[in-house]
Amino acid sequence: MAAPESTAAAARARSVADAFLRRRDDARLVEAGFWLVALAVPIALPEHAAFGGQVLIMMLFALSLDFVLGYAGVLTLGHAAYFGVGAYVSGLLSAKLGWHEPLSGLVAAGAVSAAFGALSGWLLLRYRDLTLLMLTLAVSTTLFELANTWSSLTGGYDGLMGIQIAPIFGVFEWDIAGVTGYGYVLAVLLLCFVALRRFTVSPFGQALRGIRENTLRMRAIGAPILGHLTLAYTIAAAVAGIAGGLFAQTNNFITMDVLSFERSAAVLTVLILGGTGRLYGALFGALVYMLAADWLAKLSPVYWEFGVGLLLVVIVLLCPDGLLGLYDRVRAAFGGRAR
Amino acid sequence: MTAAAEPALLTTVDLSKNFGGLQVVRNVAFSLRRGARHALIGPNGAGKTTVVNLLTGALKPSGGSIYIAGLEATQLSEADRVERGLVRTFQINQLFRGLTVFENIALAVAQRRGVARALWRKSAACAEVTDEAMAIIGELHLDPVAFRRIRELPYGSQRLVEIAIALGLRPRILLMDEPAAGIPADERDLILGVVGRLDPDIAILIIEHDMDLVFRFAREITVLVNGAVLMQGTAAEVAGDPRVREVYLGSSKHG
Amino acid sequence: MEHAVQAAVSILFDGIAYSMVLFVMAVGLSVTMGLMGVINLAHGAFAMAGGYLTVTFLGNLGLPFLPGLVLAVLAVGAASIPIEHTLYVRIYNRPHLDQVLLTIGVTLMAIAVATYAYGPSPLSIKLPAFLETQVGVFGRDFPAYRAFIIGVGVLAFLALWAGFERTMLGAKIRAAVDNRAMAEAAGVNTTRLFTLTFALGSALAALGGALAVDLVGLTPRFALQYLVLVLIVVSIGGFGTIMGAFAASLMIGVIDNAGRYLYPEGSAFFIYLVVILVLVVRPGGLFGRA
Repeated sequence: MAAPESTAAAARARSVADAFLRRRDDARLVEAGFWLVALAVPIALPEHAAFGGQVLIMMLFALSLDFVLGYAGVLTLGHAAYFGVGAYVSGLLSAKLGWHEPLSGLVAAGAVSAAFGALSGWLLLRYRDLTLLMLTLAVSTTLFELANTWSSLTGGYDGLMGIQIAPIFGVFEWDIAGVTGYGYVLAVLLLCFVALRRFTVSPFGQALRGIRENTLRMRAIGAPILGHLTLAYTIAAAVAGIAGGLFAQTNNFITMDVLSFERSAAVLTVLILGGTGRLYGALFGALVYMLAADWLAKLSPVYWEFGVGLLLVVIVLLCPDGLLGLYDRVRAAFGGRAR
Repeated sequence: MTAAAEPALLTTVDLSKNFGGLQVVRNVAFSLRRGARHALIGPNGAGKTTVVNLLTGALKPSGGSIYIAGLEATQLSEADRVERGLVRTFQINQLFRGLTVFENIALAVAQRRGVARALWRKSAACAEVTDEAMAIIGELHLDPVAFRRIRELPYGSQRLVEIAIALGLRPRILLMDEPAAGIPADERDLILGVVGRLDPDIAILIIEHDMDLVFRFAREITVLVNGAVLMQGTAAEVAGDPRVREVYLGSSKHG
Repeated sequence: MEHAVQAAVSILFDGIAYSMVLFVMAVGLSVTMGLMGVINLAHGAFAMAGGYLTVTFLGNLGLPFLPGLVLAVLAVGAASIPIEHTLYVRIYNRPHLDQVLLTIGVTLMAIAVATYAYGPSPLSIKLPAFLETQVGVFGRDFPAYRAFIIGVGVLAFLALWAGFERTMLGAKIRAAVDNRAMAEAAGVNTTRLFTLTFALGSALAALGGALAVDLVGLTPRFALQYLVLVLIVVSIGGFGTIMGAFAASLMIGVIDNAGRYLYPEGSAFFIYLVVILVLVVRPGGLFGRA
């Protein structure tokens, strides 16, 4: 039916398009570098393994936010709600119910957060802009107050103690130095990263980008906006919940600040620091943020607060697409191909 | 079923819309059959874009009904109407400016094909979407800019992408709101050519101000004034009608 | 029974005073957000600055109450002008994320400066004798300071209301809130309008902060604590409306205050539920344009 020239033309068109998609979506070799370095940390710097584990947890938390914020364009001031839910689910399972198995504790954390994310997302994501911002803040602050009200259960401001974690697979004992913990967190981070990465290069990921770029247009092509956003939000809540669960398991102690506004603001800071909408921005942003926060906090808490505040102002004014955005612009200026 | 016996693809009866006390659309009624080439004209503020918004479901009517292929559609959501084949283009481009031409069209194709929820498939593996998007790009001669971002393109090309997205949805009914709006005179013919080459089976309704375009394109014309239908008919009937001339030329007669 | 009524009236009076402080703090934000469309999370920091400056003027400099208060308010209003010119102008057309983060950054810096300069402990001011007495209203005795606050709040509301509805400036602001492009086309200098409104809003925030010192206490965390409440008032009331800010402040202030007396363990909880309920039913706020 089709003339030979048009089939040849179609094949040419297909290969050009495929080349574009490969360039856009495929993993690059340089990424392996990041993961190899991450793997090397407990070997090269074993005394920093515990801190490293916390950095990895922040990376996971930031990845979850990037999925809704960087890709779907949903700005939330209350993402800590899901981190906190995950942390308390894991923590309470161990401290109050005596269930110390880590992997199932993590799955439970993720599942409960996901359920909560699905419900709150379905209710809240009908709204935009300031209304959505306020609602997300209201949800996380309500949870914070609930944790306070139920302090007999959660430990309130004093915190939840007595979180013990059994050896992973019954084999890997948790050590004081935190090397086992680091390995555990890294494995979970890698798994979640691969999954999220896959979602972003799927047609669903593209649909999310479409919603971010022009919601009106997406509606006009018949896309189910609320459905897409709720699904993305649920996934993000699940991953944030897993990050919270890891936090409880590796620290053996959590306070209400896992649900605080400060934590939501911190993860937003991480994203703008690294750059939104590109997953690795979350990873690099988390690294820089945790290092800077640790250094500043050692100087004095006042310096830390001022430093983070100044960092935010400077980044928003000078490089709003974050460190990776800056890197892109520098590379483009030197003749590289812009992303 | 012969063309005459088929239900009209799009019918409105007594369609009305008021905002507060302001009646913007009153009792509008018309029909589009398969292959229709219909223009909706009228002075500025006559309510033409509001009519399109009512037809697509972006606005809820205050009164009246809409039927798509003979089935009741007045309460249907925007998304459901798109699924039934009712597609619109915007007067001012509504494109995904940070994405490439290819990605813009692929989004529409993927949505239509029900692939948009595929979380675990790579876009690169959705060959059916890629092929269809590239085919549309070829039809509209957008190949040279297929992988450039919208915001880098001249306005005329962007306007073509606006149409391309609609084509990705395989419309049975296409509502085009001033497709040549904002295009410099030397590029207008390109757009008109594209409109002229559209699938003859699609029922097309165009809102336009350019009378030249209207008379070249339309077999039937509806004239809307102050939200109500002044008259409907063939191009010749409308051109010859004294009321229409009054509406368009009346002020200069009194000048 | 009489005792219960006494208690209820007392709690209500307290709640209204608290509402007036919220109103004065929030009204500036409501107008600037409605006018400029900027999410300004640093508004709480301006309120806090008003509080701390009042502490300094009254305490360290020994100024009398009213002059010290007025001076602090004017100082913050004046200081907000260069801040608006250098920082805020750059984010007017930026995405909300940028606005949120920049203004959070400003707030964090302000909190750090306050901690450094004044320390983390709560500070108070010495009220003049005439405000430490009781005042008789309708045969009952009420604390004079709270009555004073209510007076200031109502006066501010009336002055703003009249200003908004009756003056040329108010008309320009209302026009620009409604449709900035049209207002500009009609010759309104929106840049100057923004700066003026921002300064007024910040001065009002400072007034609220100064009044709040003796009502709820002042620590560096004030900037964030009351930011959340003020945001709630603005969201519930709707932006760009003085009536909205007033009504929402009354609602939130009275409920929050009553909650703290009657159910101290989980009082804040009710506020957030109210937020969720109101916003879900009327996303634009009670008086906002939906």
